[in-house]
Amino acid sequence: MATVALLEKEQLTDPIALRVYEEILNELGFGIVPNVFKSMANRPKFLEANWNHFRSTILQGDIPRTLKEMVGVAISQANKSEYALKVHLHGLSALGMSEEVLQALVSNFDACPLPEREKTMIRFGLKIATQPLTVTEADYESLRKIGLDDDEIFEVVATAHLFTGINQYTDAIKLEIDAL
Amino acid sequence: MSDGDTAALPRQLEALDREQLLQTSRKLLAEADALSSRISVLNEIGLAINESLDLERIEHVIAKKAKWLLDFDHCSVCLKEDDDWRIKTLFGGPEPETLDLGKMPNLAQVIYTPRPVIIKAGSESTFLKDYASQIIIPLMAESGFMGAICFATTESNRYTRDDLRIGHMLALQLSSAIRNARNFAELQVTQAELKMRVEELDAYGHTIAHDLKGPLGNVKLRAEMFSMKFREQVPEAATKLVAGIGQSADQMTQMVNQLLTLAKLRTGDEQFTPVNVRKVVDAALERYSHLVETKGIHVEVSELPDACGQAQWIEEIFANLISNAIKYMGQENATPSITITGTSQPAAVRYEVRDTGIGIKPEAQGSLFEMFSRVHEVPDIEGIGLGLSIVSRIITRLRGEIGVESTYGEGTTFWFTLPPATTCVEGELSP
Repeated sequence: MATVALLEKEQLTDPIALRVYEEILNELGFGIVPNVFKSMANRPKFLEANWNHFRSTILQGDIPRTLKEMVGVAISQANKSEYALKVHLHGLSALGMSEEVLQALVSNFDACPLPEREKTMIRFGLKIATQPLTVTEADYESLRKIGLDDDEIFEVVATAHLFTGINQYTDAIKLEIDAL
Repeated sequence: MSDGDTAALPRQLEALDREQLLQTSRKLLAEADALSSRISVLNEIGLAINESLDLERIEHVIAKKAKWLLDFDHCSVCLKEDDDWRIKTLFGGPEPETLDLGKMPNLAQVIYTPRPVIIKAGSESTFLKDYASQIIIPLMAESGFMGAICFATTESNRYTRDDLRIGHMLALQLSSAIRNARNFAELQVTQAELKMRVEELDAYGHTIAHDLKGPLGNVKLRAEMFSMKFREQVPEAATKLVAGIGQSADQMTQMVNQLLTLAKLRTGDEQFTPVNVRKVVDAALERYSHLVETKGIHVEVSELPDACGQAQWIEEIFANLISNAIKYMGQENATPSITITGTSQPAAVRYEVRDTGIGIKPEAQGSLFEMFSRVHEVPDIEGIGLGLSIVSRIITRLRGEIGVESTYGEGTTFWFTLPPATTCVEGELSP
């Protein structure tokens, strides 16, 4: 049970919160408003800021969303953050990823049958999230080698930063998993 | 070999087979899974490029996202534009040279067949001589071959049939996005040309109408001077003929003024303000007070809500509708009357100009608001059928609607709507 109230759309009166829920329903592609956003609706401006953060980081940019969600899976797995892991896995299966790849991604990343370019990017995101102080120039260079430019590398850093924050937040408020 | 060993062998073989089978299954599963991740990326790219109608944006998406589908060090797109070819490197080097199909036999093969090719080791192309493996896939339009997309890497034997399939699916998406972008660009050009032509026509119409006014004024003036000076010296029939010239000049002046009004309508400003409609109706009625009196027409105006628009144009609408009602009141009308009413609706205000005139036949009602369409072919009634088309254009410009209800022989009601005055914010019409 979450430590904060999860507001359903019908309970909302604030126009900002209502607009954000509408945008989430239209743009996220889940057909629902995930609990993480419902938990923020008591503070409409906080909800709006976090949704805009999510939208600009994950739904926009040059790196495919599928890959960003995979970075999210890897980070949530490393942080043992159950809520975020489930949401990312749902997101990926909604994007068309097979259950087998997702299982491998979680249980045995190195053996996961993904192209090396994707694995390099996911490893980098994971390191940014879990051991940021150990990231070296060589790590950045590994991304340039597989053809990422500085803007795309920034997208990976921003993605890792966003998902780390979401893990911390959802774990702290003991957010229950959505009925997906 | 002991009996025990003999007995164990089939089991070992069975175990081995099972192990092999398991390994093969795992390998196949892994390959299928890897494909599923690529297909989900492919869907994303397809959506992203088909969202855009700008060719540069589409090429940007391909340059950025295609690397998550296929391993390559070089990606280029070659497109046929009119009768010229254009080649552009989207990812990696080298920068493109002038397209010379003689020096690019692989590309030429794709263009002339048009079928995709996989090059496994060594390129015959001077452009891509540093890339051992290549996939070149044609891009197809409705009319046939449109171009090709090329992925290349320095590693030999890099590409498989699966890579080709993935590349082919991407090429299908890209072809459709490029077709949409080109059709859109063509539409924009056509639209700009049309706009220019309409502006030219407007300017032409305006100039002609304007230049006609001077000579027309002269005709009218000279006809009047002739009547005044020579009335006593010429037969009465000649005076009548000259008076006819003056009347025709008046009609022509009216038509010219209508044409000028039409031209002004297209170029006028878009500032909207709250308008006191009762005031503009009174002004419009004032223009025809003499005719109303002469013909003994009873006029009734109810309370009218204000509207958002431009006073001069709303007056023009009422003036035209009142003028029409007077014109078509009918010679033998025992109770000639015009009633003007207005009502407020949730999103608009609606006005009606109702007359007890001769009415309009149902078959004539459809084309009533088109240019040069006359309500009736009634002799002795002036006009060239521009009035209602002007009214309709003004109302469209003021974001309203117009319609007509009429029973032939009983009368006609013209109605129109305008945005309510409350929708005007600081002189602008709120969306």
